[in-house]
Amino acid sequence: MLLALLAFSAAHQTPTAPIPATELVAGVKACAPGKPFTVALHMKLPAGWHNYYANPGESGVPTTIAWTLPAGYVAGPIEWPLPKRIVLGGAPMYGYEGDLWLLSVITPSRTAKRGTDAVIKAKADWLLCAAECVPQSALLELKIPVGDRAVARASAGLATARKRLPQHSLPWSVSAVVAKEAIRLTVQDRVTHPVGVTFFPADPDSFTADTPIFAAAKHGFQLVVPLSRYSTKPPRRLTGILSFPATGKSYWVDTPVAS
Amino acid sequence: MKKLSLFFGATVLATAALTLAARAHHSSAAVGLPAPSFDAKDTHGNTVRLSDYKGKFVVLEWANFDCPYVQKHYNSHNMQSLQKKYTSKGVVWLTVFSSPSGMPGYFPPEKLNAMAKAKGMYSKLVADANGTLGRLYGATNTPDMYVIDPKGKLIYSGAIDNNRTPDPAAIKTSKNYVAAALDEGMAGKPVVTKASRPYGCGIHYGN
Repeated sequence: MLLALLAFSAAHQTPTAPIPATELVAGVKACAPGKPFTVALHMKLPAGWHNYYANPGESGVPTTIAWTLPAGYVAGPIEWPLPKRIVLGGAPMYGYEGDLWLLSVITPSRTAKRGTDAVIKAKADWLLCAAECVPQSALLELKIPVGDRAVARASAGLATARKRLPQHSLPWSVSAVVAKEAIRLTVQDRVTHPVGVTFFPADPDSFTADTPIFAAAKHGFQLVVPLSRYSTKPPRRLTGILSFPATGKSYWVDTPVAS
Repeated sequence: MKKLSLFFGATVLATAALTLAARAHHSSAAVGLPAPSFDAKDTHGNTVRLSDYKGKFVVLEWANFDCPYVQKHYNSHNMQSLQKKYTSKGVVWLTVFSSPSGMPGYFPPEKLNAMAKAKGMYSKLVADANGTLGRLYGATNTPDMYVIDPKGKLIYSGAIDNNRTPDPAAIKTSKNYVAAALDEGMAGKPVVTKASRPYGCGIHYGN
């Protein structure tokens, strides 16, 4: 059976804003009960326009995906790719331009019925901005047959996007502590050459998009990540993407914050 | 007399330079501290000074009529209702336009006056196309809201409400932080939510 890939129109946008081509792409041709698979929201953002990371920075709204799934199916959060720091009119923001793949993991119910189709529905909402901003949304749907075994589906775009995602296993230890109007992230790393290393905090309630300040440390380096002026209390955890531009590697950090 | 005014001019400039430098780290407008004093022009060319409003609550509202999040609160009449309710209680409400000329959201003062009339607004419009007031307060979004108490202290800064969506249907069930700060301030109570992260369209200041 043919996999349905539907791209859809956006609601309530102003006529001047281009509508990005949007589709859902699954990593499988068929899924199996209890076996997780990846579904990507793939967007081709028009030149000159961007949308936002989990933490948009000084303004903007992160993209959200609301899933409607068969009973017992569970969708994980968006696995954010490395954003870009965009500065417009003096306001720093974290966002995405061009070809964007937002991956989520969906786990079918253990009791999913073989021989049926799993109907995966997503409502994606994003804010598309250039000099102006336009809220847009898309309703997307995908049908995936449920079988005895999951069958992988080749998608070069999805494979590349997955490869580029920040790695979840860190090759060294990290720690975070409250500093003056900031959180200090310490990376115990004597091997990596951290030229241009930076951090993209994911929590918009605690951080904007002010550039973290680098400092060499005894057994590695530190990044002092400025807190947002709207943050009322330091976060309990520091989450975000640590990026090494010199090597192209990036890592997902999720560590408790000591006070 | 001439000398005196020159002296004051220099002080104002020095203060502006300091606050702009401070902005690099954090905004100069900090809740709990005196709100930065300013001297701006309304859309009729009249001077608007914060010091003239001592003894009154003052609301600063950043707006951009091209922004869907601003449209959310104007097309639904939510913003006008708030303006009407609180100006009738003696609150000074200033709607500030910081979009630079040539950018979305910029309209010449006379056009802003016509739009305000058509929208039925109850606020005084401040023309800030050079972004002086916006930068001084560190306004980042439209809408971005500030509440100043009669002593000149900033008692609220941030979002208009807790529902970060462009959908006007959400207004009914939202908690309006500006109304809450004004109600609490007027009742002599401490403001519960003193700051929140604003949501909306970015203000892109000119050079």
